Amino acid sequence: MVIRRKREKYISFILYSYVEQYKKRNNIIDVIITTAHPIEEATAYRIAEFSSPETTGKKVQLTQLVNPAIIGGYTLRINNILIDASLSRQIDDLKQIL
Amino acid sequence: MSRTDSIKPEEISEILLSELQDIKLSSKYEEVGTVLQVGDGVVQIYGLDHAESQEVLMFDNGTKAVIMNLEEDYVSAILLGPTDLVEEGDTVHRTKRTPCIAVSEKMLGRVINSFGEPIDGHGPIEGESVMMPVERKAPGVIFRQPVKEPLQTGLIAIDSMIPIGRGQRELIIGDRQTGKTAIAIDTIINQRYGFEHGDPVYCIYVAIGQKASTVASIVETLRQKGALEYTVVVTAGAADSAAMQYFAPFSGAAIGEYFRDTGRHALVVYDDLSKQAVAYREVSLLLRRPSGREAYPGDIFYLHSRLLERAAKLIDQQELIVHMNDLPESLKGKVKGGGSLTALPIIETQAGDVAAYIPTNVISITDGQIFLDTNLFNQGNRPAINVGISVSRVGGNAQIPAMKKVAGSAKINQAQYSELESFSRFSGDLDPVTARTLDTGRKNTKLMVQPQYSPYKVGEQIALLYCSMHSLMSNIKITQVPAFINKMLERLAGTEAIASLQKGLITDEIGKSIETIAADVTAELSK
Repeated sequence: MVIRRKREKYISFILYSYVEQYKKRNNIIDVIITTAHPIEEATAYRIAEFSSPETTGKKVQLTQLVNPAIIGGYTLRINNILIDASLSRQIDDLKQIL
Repeated sequence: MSRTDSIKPEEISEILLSELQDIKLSSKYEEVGTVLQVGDGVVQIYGLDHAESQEVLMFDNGTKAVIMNLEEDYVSAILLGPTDLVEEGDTVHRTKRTPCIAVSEKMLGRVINSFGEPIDGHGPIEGESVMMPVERKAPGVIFRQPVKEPLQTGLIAIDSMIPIGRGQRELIIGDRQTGKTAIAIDTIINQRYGFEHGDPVYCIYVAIGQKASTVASIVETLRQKGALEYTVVVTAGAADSAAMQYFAPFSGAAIGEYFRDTGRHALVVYDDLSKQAVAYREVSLLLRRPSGREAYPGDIFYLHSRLLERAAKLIDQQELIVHMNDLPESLKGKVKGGGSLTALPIIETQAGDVAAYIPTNVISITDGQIFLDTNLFNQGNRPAINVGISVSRVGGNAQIPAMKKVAGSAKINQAQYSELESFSRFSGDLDPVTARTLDTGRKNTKLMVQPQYSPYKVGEQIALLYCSMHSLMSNIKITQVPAFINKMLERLAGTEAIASLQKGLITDEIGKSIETIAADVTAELSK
C-alpha cells in the first residue's frame, strides 16, 4: 500500500508510529536506564517503578546501559521523557551556577 | 565567584561552602526526541510532541539545531553544526528557548560567527553580556520617530544628492565588481571622526557567503584605518552551512538592536542579502517547503522585510520607550530612548536587471537605493553611482543646514547635465551657454569622483560643493579638478571656515573666504 501510494520516504516514520501504537494498545512501556556501573536487574526495575508513575500498571520493557561518563546516579528514559539524576548533569549545573 | 586573586588556602573550603549552601540540585525532567533521519543539514526528529517552532534543540554531543517545521508526528530542524556529528537514533533535548546571541561591549573589534562565537583567534569574548534574541519583532509605530540626523558616509556623491539618515534603510544595488562593498566600508571608516569626538556610530559588518580571503582583507583594511575599534564583523562564509548564512543577518540585527535600545547609534551592513536569499531557498527546499517563483519559498519577502524593519529611529521619551514591544528580559532596566539602527543592505544584480525578483522585493522595502553602474565604473567614475535613478526617501531631513543649502540643486543639475551630454554628442557646434553648462557638468562629475578609503568630512564636502555651485572651477581644465580638490582641502584645513562648516553653519564671510582660496588655487594651477 505504501509503495502503491508512493509514500516510501515515510516508511521509517510509519514504522515508529506503528510501534508506538502497538505499545500503547498492549500497555507496554519502554524504559532505558543508564548507570555509570552495571547494576542488578531487580534494582533497575525498582528504580524505574520508583522514579515515574508512568510505569505503574504497565508492562515494562527495560533496557540497561552502562555509561561511565555520567560518573554516578542514573538517567531514565521512558518513551520521550528523560529523567536525569546523573552526577555529571548535576556537576554541569553547578558549573553554570558558579 | 567575586573574590580577588589573593585567596588564602585556608579560606577555600569556607568560600566553597558559602557558594554551595543555597544551591538545590534535583533530578531533571525533560522531553526528548530521537533522530529518525539526518542529511544535508536537516534532521528529522521523532517525539518532541510539545516542541515549539524556532526552538533551539541540543544533541548529546553539543551540536545545536533550530526547529523549522512542525509536522504531525515529527519535527524538522536545521543543524547549526556539522551534519556528520549526528546519527540516526541520537537523543535530542529541548532547550525551551529561541536562538539568542550574547552581545557585549567587548564584541567591538572582534570577528564572530552567526552565533556570537569568536573566530579571529583572540580568545573568548569576556565581560558582561546581554542575551539578545536573533529573531525579534520590530519596534511598533508608536516607538519610532522620523529620521532627522545625518549618517555621514564621507562620500560627496552620496551625502550631497542621496543623503542617508540615522534609522534609514538605504539599499546599495549593482552588478558584481561595481564598488558596493567599497561604499559600505568607506561609510564605516568615516565613522572614525564621530567615534573620536563623542558621537559614535557603532558598526556591524555582516558578511554572508563571502570568501574568507575577502573578509580577511576587509578586516585588515578596517584595522589599518582605525575602524575596527568600533566595528563588529559577523561572518558566515561560503564554506559555512546554509543555516549559518541564513541566520547571520539576523544576528547582526540583534547586535545592532543592543546599541539601538540602549540609546546609542548603530549601522549594520548586510553584504549581501542576495546570498542570504539563496541560503534560505536552499534551507526551504531541503525542508520540503513549497517553492514559488525562481524556486524561492513563498515567504522570501517576509525574510527581508522582517530583517530590515528592525532598523529604526526610536523616540526620545524614556517613559514610553520602556514599554517597547517585544523587549527581551535581559534588556529591561537598560533601555534608553533616542537610539537608532541604520541598515545598508547590499543586493547584487545580474546584468543590471533591477526588475528581477529579489531586487524588486528589497527595493520596495527600503527607504531608497543607490544604483551602481558598470559603465560608469569602467569610465573611471568611482563611486559609480547613477544619480539619476538613485534616491533617498529621507532626503534633506538627513542633511545639516549648510549641506542642504549648497547641495539643494546638485541632483537636478546632474540630471540635466546627463541629458544635455547625450544630446550634445549628435551636435556639431555648441552655443556658449550649452558649452559652459556641459563644462560645468563635466567638472562637477569629476568632483564627485573620490578615491577609495578617503572619506571627506562634511565641512570639506560643503566647501567643495560651494565651489561647484558658484562655478569656481570654471577657469581650470577638467584634468586639474583632482589637484584643485587637494589644494582646496589643504588650504582650508584648520581654518575657522571649515570648523563652522563642520558644525553646519554657512555665512557670507565663509563663502567669501572659500571664493578667495579657490581663486588662489586656480591661479596656481594656471601657471
